[in-house]
Amino acid sequence: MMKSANLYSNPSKAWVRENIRRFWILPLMEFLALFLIGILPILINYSHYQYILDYVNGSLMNNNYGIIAVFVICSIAMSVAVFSYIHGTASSTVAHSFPITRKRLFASSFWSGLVMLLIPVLIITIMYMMVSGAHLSADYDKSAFNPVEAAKVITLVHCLKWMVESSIIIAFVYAMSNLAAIIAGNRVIHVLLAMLINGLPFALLQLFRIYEQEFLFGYPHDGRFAISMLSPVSHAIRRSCYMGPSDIVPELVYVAVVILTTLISVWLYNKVQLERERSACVFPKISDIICVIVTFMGMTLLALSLSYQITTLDNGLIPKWIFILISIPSALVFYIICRMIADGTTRIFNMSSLKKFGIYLILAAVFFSFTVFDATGYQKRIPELSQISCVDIDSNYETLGTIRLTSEASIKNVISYHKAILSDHGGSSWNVNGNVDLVTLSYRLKNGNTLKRSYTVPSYKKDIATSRAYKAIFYSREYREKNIISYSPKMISRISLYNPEASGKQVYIYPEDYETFIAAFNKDIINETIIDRQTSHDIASVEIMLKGKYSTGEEAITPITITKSDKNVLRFLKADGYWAQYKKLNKDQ
Amino acid sequence: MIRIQSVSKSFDGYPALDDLEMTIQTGSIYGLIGVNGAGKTTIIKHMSGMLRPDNGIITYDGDGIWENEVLKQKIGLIPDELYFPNGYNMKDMCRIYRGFYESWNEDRFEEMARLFKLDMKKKLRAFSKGMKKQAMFCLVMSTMPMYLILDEPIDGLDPIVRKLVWKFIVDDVADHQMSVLISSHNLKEMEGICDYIGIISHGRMLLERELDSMKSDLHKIQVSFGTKSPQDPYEGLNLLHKESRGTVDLLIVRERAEKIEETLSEYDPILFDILPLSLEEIFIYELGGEDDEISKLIF
Repeated sequence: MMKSANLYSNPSKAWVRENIRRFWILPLMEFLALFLIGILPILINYSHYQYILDYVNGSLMNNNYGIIAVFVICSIAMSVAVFSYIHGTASSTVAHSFPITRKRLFASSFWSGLVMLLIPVLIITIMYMMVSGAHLSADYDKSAFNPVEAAKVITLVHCLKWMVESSIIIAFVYAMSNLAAIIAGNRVIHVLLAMLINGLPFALLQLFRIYEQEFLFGYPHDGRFAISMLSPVSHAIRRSCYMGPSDIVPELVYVAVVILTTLISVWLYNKVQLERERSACVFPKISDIICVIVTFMGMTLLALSLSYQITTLDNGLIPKWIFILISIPSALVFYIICRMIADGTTRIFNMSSLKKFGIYLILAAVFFSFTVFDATGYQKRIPELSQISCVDIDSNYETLGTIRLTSEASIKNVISYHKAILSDHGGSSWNVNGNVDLVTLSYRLKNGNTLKRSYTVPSYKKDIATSRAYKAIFYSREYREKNIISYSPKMISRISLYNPEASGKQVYIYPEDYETFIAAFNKDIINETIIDRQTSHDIASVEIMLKGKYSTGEEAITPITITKSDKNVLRFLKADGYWAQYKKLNKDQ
Repeated sequence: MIRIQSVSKSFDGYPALDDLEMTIQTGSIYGLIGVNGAGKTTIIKHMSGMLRPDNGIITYDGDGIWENEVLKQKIGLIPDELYFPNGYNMKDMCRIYRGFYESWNEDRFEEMARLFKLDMKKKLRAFSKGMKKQAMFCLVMSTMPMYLILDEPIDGLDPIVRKLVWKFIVDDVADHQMSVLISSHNLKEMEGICDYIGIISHGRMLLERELDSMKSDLHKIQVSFGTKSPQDPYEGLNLLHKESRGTVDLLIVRERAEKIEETLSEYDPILFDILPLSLEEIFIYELGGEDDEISKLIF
């Protein structure tokens, strides 16, 4: 029975002291690396801060791969160091003969490692505060840098957020690596297992997504949930803003995972049969599970890559039977490799291994039946009209992004369109090797659930049933109305014209022209034909920034594009001189 | 008293310890003898609390050893494979042991290090095997253990150092009733130091005896009645072995010395000597010496 007290078992001062004496070099290395990546660039550019403003911003958001790599490498290395005594026969005998229980031995190793990892973070946080006086040089580009905004980068709040998030990342990776330490029987496997466990949820879910996307027609492109949230490492890398209120829950979950993982590690440590040390894994059943997982991952990657190489896609999907045929030998190859590593011998061809491989094949068959062979009928599922409260549609044809359709007529149109896609798919008219449109349909059901599907469909052609069904949606009154801009000029803080291929400068529309601009844009949308939308290329981009921010802390920006068919908008821009400015800007750049 | 009761342990189905029974009396020195692979190190790892038995219990004066840090304060272990962290010298190791053991005796440590002529600043990994053993011995003995467990302790030690090691052990046993378990695969080493001997084979205790009682029970006799040998002069004696060389008989008898003398003096022998039995001989006649494993121990 696990008790929370396990984690807080009074650490042995002697053991903590010895760990710090022996492994102090690791926190020193961590500090130096963080100093080089985080602080030194600021010191070098202290009086011309504009050169590294974005870099510092990214670093303090933990959006810096270098910093994340330091955290991950140091956490794994520290775990390997403080738990290295377990993996040697002599060191293990001596350590376990000392007057200290396993719980305290674990707690002492755990806390000494964690403290050593966090001290550099604390020092770097203080150093960030010390260099917060970095400033822009006198000759900075006033159109690109705002001194007030620049001064807001290294603030106490940002530094504290960085410290908290960094500490959570370190604790998370370290806790997972400690679990690997207990399971592994030697240092090499400890390192490999630490990397595997840290990346395992992410890798497995990514693989599940690949299966669903490659074999289930209509599987949403963006996945059912954000995989990056599975680890604070990926979460930090993916998030391009500072920790905000919406991050509190995930960060608390990460802390809870750290505590739970550590409790499991303590519990397992009490169960470890030390005589098994030096083998790959000290728990034979966990060893079998790891073999199954690694075989599954290896089989999937090898079978997918070979399938891509030796077959042509069948209307966007991998041919099922070819994939299965490749999967079986791939699984065998990886299983043999895993088994040899786990058992520490090449003599693995026995009944026990064969049985375990048989179990793996059964598990794989069950998994394939749900993914590759769609046993649940996922691909053909379309909700009944009576079940749907509204539908969100997102394709290349919506001006403002996703549009929510609520009228019965519109929902009927969407269902017809969805049915046409399913009926056309696989037919001769279905060709996704040429021009394609991406479309996502999200049915909001009355029971609160959402049914979401994404399709790559051939671009609009009159002779395809799918296109004809889409035409009905495009020209429907509700779709048209929801495609227009409905912001009142008072809600808008800025409208700017820019070229996405040339970074930096923008042409700002004067506030008194907001209403005219929006009216012209909406008129173009109402008159636009499906062919216009399909054939016109973007000639400029526009950002409409609203007053206030989203709850995530991000700016509320609506991006729109201007094409040659937007005659009213172009006429307005040319008449008021904005277009000339835009042209000049592009020419200068 | 250390009691090992019905302890069993198997590694991947292979029984390393099989219903092992052992008793180490307080203030005694117990010699655990067995060939390589007999289970000596395994039982020592159980006794030091590193391994947990599949079955059975190990108690020190009634207290179980598993996860008992109070009891472990009183146990000193010198394992067969020694471990010193990389770069550590005697001073560093002293710091670790001082931190862990409440009864650490600094004076004793310094005195022992001086007697064993150990360099306090030299890295321990640079020490020879024998020096490492001595270093470990100094450290462990300075924790003032009540129970001392030594796995092949004098392997690699020269005779002078060996004597010094035995002296410290015997003194501690005499001074504060320390109980000692010494494992060895060599019977000769144990003679003259152990109070009790246990022979372990295939994880089982073959024989466990107090050495003095064994010696008082088993005798080697040299006797001759000349040319007029009486008919069956040894009737009534528990004769384990008889060997004749001319008129002289060499006997191994399990009997009290007085009874042997009384029985044989009736026939007025011209030669009658009770010779000392070596430990090896005792075990040959106790165990028969037929088992290949036993033979390896003795010869």
